[in-house]
Amino acid sequence: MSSVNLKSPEVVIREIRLGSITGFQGNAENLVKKSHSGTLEDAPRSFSQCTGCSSGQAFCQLCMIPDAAVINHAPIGCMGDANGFNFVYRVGQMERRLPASSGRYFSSNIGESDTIFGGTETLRNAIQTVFERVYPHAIFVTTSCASGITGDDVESVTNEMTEKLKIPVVACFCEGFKSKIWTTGFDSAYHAIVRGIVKPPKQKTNRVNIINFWGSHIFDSLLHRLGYEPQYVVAFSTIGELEHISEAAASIQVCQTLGTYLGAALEQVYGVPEIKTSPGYGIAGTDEWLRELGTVLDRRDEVEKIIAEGHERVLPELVKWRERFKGKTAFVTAGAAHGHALIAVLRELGFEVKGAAIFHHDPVYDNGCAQADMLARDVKDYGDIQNFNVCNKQAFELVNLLRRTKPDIFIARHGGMTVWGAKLGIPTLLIGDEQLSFGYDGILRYAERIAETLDNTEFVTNLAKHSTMPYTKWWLEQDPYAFLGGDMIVESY
Amino acid sequence: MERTVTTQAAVKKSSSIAQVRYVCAMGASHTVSAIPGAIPIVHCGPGCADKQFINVAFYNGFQGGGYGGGAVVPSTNFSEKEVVFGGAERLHELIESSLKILNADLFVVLTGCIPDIVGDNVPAVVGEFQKQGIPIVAAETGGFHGNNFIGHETVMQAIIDQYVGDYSDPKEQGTVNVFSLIPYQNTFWRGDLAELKRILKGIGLKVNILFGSGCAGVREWKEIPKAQFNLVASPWLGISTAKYLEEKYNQPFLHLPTIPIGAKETSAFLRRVGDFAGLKKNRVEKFIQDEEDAYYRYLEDFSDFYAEYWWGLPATFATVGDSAYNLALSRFLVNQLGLIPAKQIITDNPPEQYREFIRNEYRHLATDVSAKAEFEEDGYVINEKLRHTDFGHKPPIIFGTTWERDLAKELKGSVIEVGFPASYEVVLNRSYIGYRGALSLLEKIFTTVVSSSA
Amino acid sequence: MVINLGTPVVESREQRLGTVIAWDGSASRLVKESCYSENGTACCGCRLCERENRGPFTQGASCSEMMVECQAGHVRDAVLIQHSPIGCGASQVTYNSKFRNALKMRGLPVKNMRVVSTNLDENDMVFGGIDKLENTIVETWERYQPKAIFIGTSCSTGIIGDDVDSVSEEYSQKLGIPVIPLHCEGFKSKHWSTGFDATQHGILRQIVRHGHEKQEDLVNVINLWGSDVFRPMLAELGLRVNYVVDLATVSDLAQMSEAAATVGFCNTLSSYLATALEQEFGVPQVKAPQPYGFAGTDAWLRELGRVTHRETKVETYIEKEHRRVKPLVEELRARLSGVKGYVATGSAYSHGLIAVLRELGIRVDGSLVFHHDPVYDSGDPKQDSLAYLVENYGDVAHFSVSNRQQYQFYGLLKRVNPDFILIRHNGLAPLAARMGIPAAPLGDEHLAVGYQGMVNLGESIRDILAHKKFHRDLAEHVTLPYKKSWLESDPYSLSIQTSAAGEA
Repeated sequence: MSSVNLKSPEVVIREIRLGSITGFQGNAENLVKKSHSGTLEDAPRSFSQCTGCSSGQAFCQLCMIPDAAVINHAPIGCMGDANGFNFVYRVGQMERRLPASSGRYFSSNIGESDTIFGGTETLRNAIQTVFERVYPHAIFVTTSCASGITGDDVESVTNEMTEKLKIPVVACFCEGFKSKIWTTGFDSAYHAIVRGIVKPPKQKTNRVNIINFWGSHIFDSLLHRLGYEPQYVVAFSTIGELEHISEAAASIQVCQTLGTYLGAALEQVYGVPEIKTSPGYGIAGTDEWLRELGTVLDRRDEVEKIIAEGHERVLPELVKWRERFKGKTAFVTAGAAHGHALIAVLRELGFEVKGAAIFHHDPVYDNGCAQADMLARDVKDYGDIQNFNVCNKQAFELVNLLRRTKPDIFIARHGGMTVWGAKLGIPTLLIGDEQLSFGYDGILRYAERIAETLDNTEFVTNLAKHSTMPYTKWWLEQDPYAFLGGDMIVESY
Repeated sequence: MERTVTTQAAVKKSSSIAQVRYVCAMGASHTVSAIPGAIPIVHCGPGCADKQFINVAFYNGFQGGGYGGGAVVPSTNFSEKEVVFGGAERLHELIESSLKILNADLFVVLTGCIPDIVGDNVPAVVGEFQKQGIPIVAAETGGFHGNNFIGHETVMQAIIDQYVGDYSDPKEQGTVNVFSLIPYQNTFWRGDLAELKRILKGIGLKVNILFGSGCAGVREWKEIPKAQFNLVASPWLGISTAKYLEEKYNQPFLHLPTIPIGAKETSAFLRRVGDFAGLKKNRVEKFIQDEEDAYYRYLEDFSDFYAEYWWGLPATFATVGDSAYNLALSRFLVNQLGLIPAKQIITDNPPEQYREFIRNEYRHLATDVSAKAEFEEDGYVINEKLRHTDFGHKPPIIFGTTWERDLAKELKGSVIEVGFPASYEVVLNRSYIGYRGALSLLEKIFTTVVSSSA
Repeated sequence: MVINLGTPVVESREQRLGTVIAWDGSASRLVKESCYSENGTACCGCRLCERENRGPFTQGASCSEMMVECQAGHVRDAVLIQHSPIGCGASQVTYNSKFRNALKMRGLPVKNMRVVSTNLDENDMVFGGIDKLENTIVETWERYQPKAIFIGTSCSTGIIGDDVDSVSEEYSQKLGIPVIPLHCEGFKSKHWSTGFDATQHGILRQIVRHGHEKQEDLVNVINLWGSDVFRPMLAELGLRVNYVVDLATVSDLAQMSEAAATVGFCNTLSSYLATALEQEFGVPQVKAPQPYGFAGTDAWLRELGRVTHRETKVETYIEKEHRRVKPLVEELRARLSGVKGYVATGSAYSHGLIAVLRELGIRVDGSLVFHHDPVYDSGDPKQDSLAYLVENYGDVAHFSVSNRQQYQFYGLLKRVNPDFILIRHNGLAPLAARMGIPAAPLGDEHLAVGYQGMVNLGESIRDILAHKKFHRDLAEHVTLPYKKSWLESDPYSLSIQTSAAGEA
């Protein structure tokens, strides 16, 4: 199947492309079965709290290309996330020893009259102004609910300006209301990059694309040993570098949820092979991922050595950690594939995972490969998981679940969730760097962070005694999934 | 001096000091300046007063000289002549002219090294003025006698002995004299003493705080004998004065080694004071309840950050400072923030008889956390100790002084300047103790950590 | 007069130059009474000190030891040992702060300064502190391997009579680096600037090297921590700068003898070192007015050009700078004319600053200097900076000498009611602040040097005048510690004869 169509300015949303869902209750095994048999159905909620949207995810991928500028064609409120991403961008610059500079983010600042008379002129002016101010090597225009509804022909404006300014001006369609799965925004950004920036390969290189957020550079030594050069995309790659990702020898995913579209697009359009097996989390997962990497890069023997060395280095340590964490329980909340990965690592460390609240579920990825399913791997390698909840950051469900499952540690990758653990007196660990737990050594790195969190219970214990909770006693006694599945009287939105 | 063995056996010790963390006994001129309306007169070399002031009160939080401190302080400025022939006469004329030029409710004469070596009879000179009913006191504080912590107690006792005087009338129930942080040397003393007074008042006590803007000046010192009891809130500083008062005025004292930081510690502190003073329980509890309500709302809001900040928060900490702040911070960080103590270095040279007691406090920081207190004043050794401390895999946070800045950089960690010298802090009424101070402390710690992110 | 490097103890300023710390009158009178040109040799010519009387009331000032710390403590690869009880070590804090800021200002890596106190106690006062000093020297060597060790004495060790000289000599040999005693007991000189001389004396005796080849384009610039204004200026003349003593390395100090000339920004600071370099090593001292204002800078540059044989380059540079700076100064004059300023600084520096203020059209009716040297070590009238000021920029009606005595400062300011004060030392600005007068603390002592200095200072003054709002508000809400009767008295009524002040 090919889900990639570069002729269309818009990417097809995940619900349609992959059949993704945002509501499910049950056990993991069942979810995997349904996914693989094509019988998965979404369960709508009759009560819901705020979630993310595609626009934020698209911006997240486009906003750290150092020589590009991003214009959000929207009323000013949609730029609310610029501040946070700018902070992340600056932290990343520091970690990479780059000179500090703020992101070049702009809003076309649509007003009332634009929604009546159309905002294309406003957008055109914005593009011209941005070009004159910062001379970027490319400009991305991200759309918004407002521009989508008023029907601004953004594609025509960007095409026209591309010609006028002689730099790529690329539209990225990411209206929040169009998809319930906010990760569609990743796909929108990648679609824009592949469509507007990436050039057909002239020659093959020994570079390997690593599709990631802004994580630590943990792949350097591995790839160097295999005779390849890492190219971390998209954050901190320049437009010039992105133009050539079609020439890479392979693409690595750290998280299928993030990179599914880019990995598949590069393979389907430009023949860059994607490492399709689920990313290397946990011992067995890492073994298999490395072998696939060795096969694709034609380095099988060296990879076997790496595997043997990794086992020798890590397994004895792992035994100690397992001893330490014996009998401990955990609860995980994270985006889909990365959540699955965290579950693998936790169970590798000897934790019992008592449940999970995963933001959405993709029954299949764009590469269509069954080996890519991290959740299936979890179930296969470590057994089933009860209380496996697909829940797009619905705190009310999470609190209810946490109170019931009472884990020893609560693990999250996204903001807005962990505080509920703290309020309930549950030590909570939030890790932004998704690469931290990758590979053999990642398991140990993660173990240290967990141990540290388990050592620091004073703050949450004390806080729990004095904290407030906005949910009613009634709700906390209900079944956590009571509002899931549309069997309540309230109509879902 | 105790020789704590570190991972670095190579660290050699003489008694020399690099990177001063206290000054000399005459630095207790600041104890005088901290009493509203009192002015010190120093009998010493020409640079002594300036050295003490510009370092303790200026390049330490930039606190300033106040009304009668700083460059106001009359000084005999010994010259060769007085060294040879004695400085008593010179002191006499200085006091006489000070009375003409300066408005003060109390003068305190402090001696420096020179008169203490050449043997000037300072009590005799000052005694002449005392006989005329002039409020003036003499204290022997030559620099080689000890540091300004010792000088602080010397000066307090001199004022009580020579100025406050005898008293045998009944005590005033519910009144307390507070002996806690050392003014000026502790960079945050103004805000801290204000908070201490506020919370003690809150549970129903009448408080003689004795220093700073919350003190009514020497009039308040005159009230000292009437108080029901003395409160010593520090590991050792003030005990000697409290014992002196116990003997002189038959006043009992309560010793609470930990200056409270954060709701948990502060509420416990207030309950113990309340019990000792025999205060009405419901009044004490009502105040605690109100304070905790306010405190924990802020803490709850803060917990979003504490739980969710992505870019790395420190896990281990070191404290380098005087025993009072060192212990107070260590207990707060361990018990209420859940940080891990890695190195605790006490720099105020506590008298030998208190050291085991202090070590024991650190052994029992929390029910499940024990730390080791090390006593060290030489900056070189302190740096070496920190440099060879295992802070785990994350950059540490060091609660120390300006001297630790370079080391913190080297360790890629952060430094919070909490004691002398704090040359990179501008301090007005900021406090780090009690309920309100703890919130400022949290702000300071995490603003520092976050500012170094990007 | 002859500088004597034969003895370890420097002669104090009052012995060498007849320095006074209390005087009041007009600048022109002070010039006359100093008898600079008749003076020429050590204190004898003038009668200034006869009238000097510090009076019964004095406040804490500063001491020679602090000047040692501020110079010897800031040689980057040396260590200073303070042979003293811990209290003298207090100023490690101040000088560390200055050191760090100075390093940053010069673009050098920021680090803590290295000063160690021998931390003497009661016992040492009885039995002597020499053992501790030896231990500290050994420890200092093992810890830091410095290129030189300075040992500053203190009042205590001076009185108990520790033989620091012998120990220094012994360890110079043992360690193979200069171990240099600096005699700087506070009580031994009435003015702290003797401490500068003590440091320079030690450096001249034990660090400056003999018998190396000359570097014809090297100029010693004697300064403290000021920003790097001399390097670009002298580069235009094809000269390289050797900044000493602060922030220099020991080898920078050693090569002073090879330079083509020595200059300074303030005669008070540079007098001893520059004169001794000429006398002992044949390095010519640029004997000229100080480099402030158009006239002073012109003359200073021309003399430097003459000494280093760069006359043509100097003229080109002067012309270029005049053209560039004159309009800027004109503009500032227009904005600042009629503003009243007051200068309170270390002696010769004030002479320079007043010149700059007057170039800027600012009225200066009063100045306080912390001491006065009737003559400088060279004895050359071309260095009579006060006379130069009076001749070129006119008299200063109230020119007072007082070693930073705050109690006199109120009355001095009241005489002229300035809009702002220029100041470098601590202790006086806080009082001015409480009187509603803002102070420009000149942390960077090079700010006012040369042509650009006029522009810099003018702009800084404009910033400071804006602070008035803060100070006026404050003045209305503070109580001063001084009695009313005193504040209404003449500031010198307790010290020198009032009649003298009255004649001014």
